[in-house]
Amino acid sequence: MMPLIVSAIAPEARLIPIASLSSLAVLALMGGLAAHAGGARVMMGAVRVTFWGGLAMAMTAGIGWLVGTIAQ
Amino acid sequence: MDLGKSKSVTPLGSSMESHGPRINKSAFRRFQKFLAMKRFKMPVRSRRLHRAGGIGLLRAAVLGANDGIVSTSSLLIGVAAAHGTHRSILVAGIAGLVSGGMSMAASEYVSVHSQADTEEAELALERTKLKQDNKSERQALTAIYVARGLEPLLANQVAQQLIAYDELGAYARDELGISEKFRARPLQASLRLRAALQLGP
Repeated sequence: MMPLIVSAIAPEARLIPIASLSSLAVLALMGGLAAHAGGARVMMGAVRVTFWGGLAMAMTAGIGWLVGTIAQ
Repeated sequence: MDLGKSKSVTPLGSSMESHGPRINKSAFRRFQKFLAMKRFKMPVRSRRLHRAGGIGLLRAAVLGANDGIVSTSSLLIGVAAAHGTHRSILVAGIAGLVSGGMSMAASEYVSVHSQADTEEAELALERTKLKQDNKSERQALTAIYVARGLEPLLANQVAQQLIAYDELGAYARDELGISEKFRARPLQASLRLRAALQLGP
């Protein structure tokens, strides 16, 4: 829900950095929260979730960029 | 899931009386009296020590929310990178959110439900095996207790008493590894994840 709201509000020109950074921030927060609740190390949980989330976003952005350039 | 909400001082086994395998209440009370006589303090169930109960719910919610954030924002960024219009970006985001929530809930429901069915089938099989060949099943149970460190004679005694008390329960716990406490609850898990994905962040 959060990324959708952010991208609805954000200006079109800066949509990609705003959406990705806000999502990564929330992911880090949630990963830290889950780790803290489970009694694990907070930093580790936050980094793990942020890294894989960031990788997923980067790969999808790459695919979108490829498709967008080929189609034009 | 009553572990997370446990009161500060909970007598051993009091939370087990509501559900779970048969508990011999009178024997349990006698045991309590025996302990009181020996001035043995009942262990206090600490909130921080045992995290297995309530943490499952929170973990499922966080995982569901994380999944929703990663998939939705990836989708949005992908469409945005392909120079989609603002409108098409939002349509893709909404479609992704709804389809993600639905597929997550469906697969979670199916997986939990099929596990419950499997457990049920295993219990049925155990029932027929017990009817057909009581002796070798008892030997199998004894072997399990020996493998856990009991001496053969004692293991045999333990197996005999547990069988006399609650036959199917003893086999379910120690041979199949099915305990009432961790019994799968299909609808709850499914709804939990779906709510986390759709209403959550």
